[in-house]
Amino acid sequence: MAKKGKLQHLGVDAGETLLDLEKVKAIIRKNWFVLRSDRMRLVPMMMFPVIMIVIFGYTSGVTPKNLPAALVDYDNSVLSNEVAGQLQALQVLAIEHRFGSESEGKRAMDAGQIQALIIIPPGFGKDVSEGRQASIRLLVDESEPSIAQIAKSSVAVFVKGVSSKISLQRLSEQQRKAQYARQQLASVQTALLYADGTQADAYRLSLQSLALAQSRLSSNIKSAQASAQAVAAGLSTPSNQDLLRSPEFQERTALQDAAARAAQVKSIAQQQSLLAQMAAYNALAGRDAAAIKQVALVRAQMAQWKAADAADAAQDESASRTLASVDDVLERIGSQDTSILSDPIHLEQEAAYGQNRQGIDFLLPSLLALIIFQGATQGMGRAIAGERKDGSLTRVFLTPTSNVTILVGTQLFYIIFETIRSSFIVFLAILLFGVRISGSILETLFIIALFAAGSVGVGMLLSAMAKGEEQYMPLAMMVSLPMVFLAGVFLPIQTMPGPLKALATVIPIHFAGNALRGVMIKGFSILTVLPDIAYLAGFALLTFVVSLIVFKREVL
Amino acid sequence: MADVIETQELVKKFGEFTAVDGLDLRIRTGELFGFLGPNGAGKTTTIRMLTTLSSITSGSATVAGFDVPSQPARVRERIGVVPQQFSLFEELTPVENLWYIGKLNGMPEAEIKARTTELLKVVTLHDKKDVKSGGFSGGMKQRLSVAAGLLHTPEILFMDEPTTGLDPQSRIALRELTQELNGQGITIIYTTHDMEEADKLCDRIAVMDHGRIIAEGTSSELKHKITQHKLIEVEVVDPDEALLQAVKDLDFVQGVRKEGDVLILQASKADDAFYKLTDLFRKRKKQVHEIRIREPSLEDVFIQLTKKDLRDE
Repeated sequence: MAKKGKLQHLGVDAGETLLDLEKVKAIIRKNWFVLRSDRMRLVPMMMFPVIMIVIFGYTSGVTPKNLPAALVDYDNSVLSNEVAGQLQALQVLAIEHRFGSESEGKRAMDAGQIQALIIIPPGFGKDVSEGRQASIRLLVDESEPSIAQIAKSSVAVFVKGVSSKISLQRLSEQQRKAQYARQQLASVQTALLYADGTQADAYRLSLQSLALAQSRLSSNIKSAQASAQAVAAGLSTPSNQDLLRSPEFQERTALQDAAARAAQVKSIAQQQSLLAQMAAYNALAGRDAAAIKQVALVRAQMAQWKAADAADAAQDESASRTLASVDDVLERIGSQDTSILSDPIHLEQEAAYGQNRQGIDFLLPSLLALIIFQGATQGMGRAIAGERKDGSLTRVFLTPTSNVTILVGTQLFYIIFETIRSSFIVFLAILLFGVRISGSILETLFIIALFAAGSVGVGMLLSAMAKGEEQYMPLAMMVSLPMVFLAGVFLPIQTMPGPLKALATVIPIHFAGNALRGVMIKGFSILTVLPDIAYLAGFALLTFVVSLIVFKREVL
Repeated sequence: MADVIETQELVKKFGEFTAVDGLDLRIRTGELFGFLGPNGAGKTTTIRMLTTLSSITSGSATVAGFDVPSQPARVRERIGVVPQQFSLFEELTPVENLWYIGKLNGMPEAEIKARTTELLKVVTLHDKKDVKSGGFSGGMKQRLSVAAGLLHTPEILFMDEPTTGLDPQSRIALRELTQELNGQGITIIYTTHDMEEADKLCDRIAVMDHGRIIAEGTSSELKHKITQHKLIEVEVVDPDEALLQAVKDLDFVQGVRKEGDVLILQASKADDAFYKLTDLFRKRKKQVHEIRIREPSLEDVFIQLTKKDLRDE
């Protein structure tokens, strides 16, 4: 009972199997029969993933190549020529023109010939060579934001590359200077090491020994003097006078005194004692003379040492001068280091159409074109196919009303509706995002209405082909969904492979985007975008005529 | 009376399939003309060709004196149609729907307004005039459809199986309305696969099968065609195939069919029919409740003409 109860919970009644595989198979087959019988629905359903994978597969993650660009070189220096040469090698940009002036370049951009304009201002080379910050200007047509972004970042990377090359050059120059300073320092250090380590020490040592020797001698002389004075007190013989007057003793007044006194000595005993004293003194005097010689020698050595000292001082002074200069160099290197860190070349990016423009401004025209197309193709299912299916079109066919009248009436309603809807979107963009319309609002509305006519025409054509709304929807999807990607709103057209790119540039949504961008953002007159207008008008007419041909009054 | 519709060798082909096969038709002014036949007989295709909704493969057709292929707009001015499928805008109210149809018919606003009021009373939808028609019942939708068909005062009104799918009450109301309109002088071409309806309603009937008219005439004319045969009904307990075959093998029996426990025999005039029948049933030990002789209906005519049952197919 409990089991049965459970199954009943799952919607299984008595006599039924929980999962009957035979019946499951039958249900699967039935669904296939239903789908198979409706080719108009089956084909788009099968084609849809093919289209999606082709567009996505070929457009995702591919960097665009050869975006049309131009160069204006006001500087014309060696460096600017070199930079121009390197720009040619860029894959993302194709420098197709070199203009003489910025205004010439801007005209080419207005005409849609180029998407980026690179300007090398005058004095570029000079600024770089003199270590100042130079600049390169980049003007980008941001009409296709994704492409503009790629162009901008590509040029930014390029400039960064050139900049860091110059930075490297500057750095190696500094390194060369630093190397020189280092050598200077090393030589000073060597000189100082030599002065302090050997000569000065030697001098100092000999001076110390000499000073010791002299002090010993001085004390000897002092004691000799004392004993000589004692002798001299009793010694005054005239024979000693000459000796005592000898120049060696003149300085020594004490000895003079002793000699004077010796002359006055009277007794022989005293004289003999004095003579003995004199002999002793003479011996001392001899030693003193030797000491004096020694002192003279010391003095000479002292003088030599002083001279050496002076030489050292001179060397010191030169070393300190060298140090000062090295210091100066290093300081200069130091101060330049910060300037090396800042880029030698600065990239000034400018939007070609107004500085205060924002992303949505450039996106809006393409987005608007896309919305119009989507809205028109999604809404037209009810218009003809739906009315055909529910029979209300039959009632219309029963009245004396021509096909042209039916189609024009239906189409006009949707054109008016789409125009109002799109105007509302523009109004919202102005209100919510602060979008500015540079050109005429009336001309913008005219372009919207014209493109709505073509888009509604596509919907009308599909609606005329389909037997009902169920058939219409896959058909419309097959046509309108690729437009989402081919419109260049979400995926840049430039990243697409050749055939898709070619397709993207011939579909009406592309021309509508161009015309709307011209008037809304670039502020052009409608006459400037006349080729786009002509295309859109032709397209609207073509879809109408084809719809008229395809539209069958036959009720089956 | 003049012919208001005339066709000669009218053919409609869809690829290899021939839906209408050489139709010759004359419908007189003021007639209530019925197309009778099973589904797929070619009734609707014929109506579509005559109402300019479908192209003509070959042959000719004139409606209200205008050549259908070359003057379709002239034809449309003079005809009204009540299609099989509801063909008005469900999002619109009866007044809005009729206004739109009136405009497409080139009627002035005042006339549309007057006709709308008048017709909505005729089809008893006046109290629903401002209600969206999407929510209407089948009968209400069909009555609105009749009003739309009559809005521009056409000479001819085509009604393609208008009572299909309606409840009995609505059927009766619509039939009464049809007769009333015919009484006002409007020629009505009415298709149905309901024998009884055709019998009661139509002045003349064309019986169609496989794209051809197999018989044409008033109801009594058609019935008269098979009065040389008697229809004998035998109510028997549990009739089996063997019994059916044995009955068929009787010399006076032209045809036999089984409806539940009732065997319906077409018998040539044979005085001993009763005797032979009772003898057969006695021998086969079959209990017989009743044996009776019946007047032929249109259904019998159809079966006689097509040699097949009137069930759809």
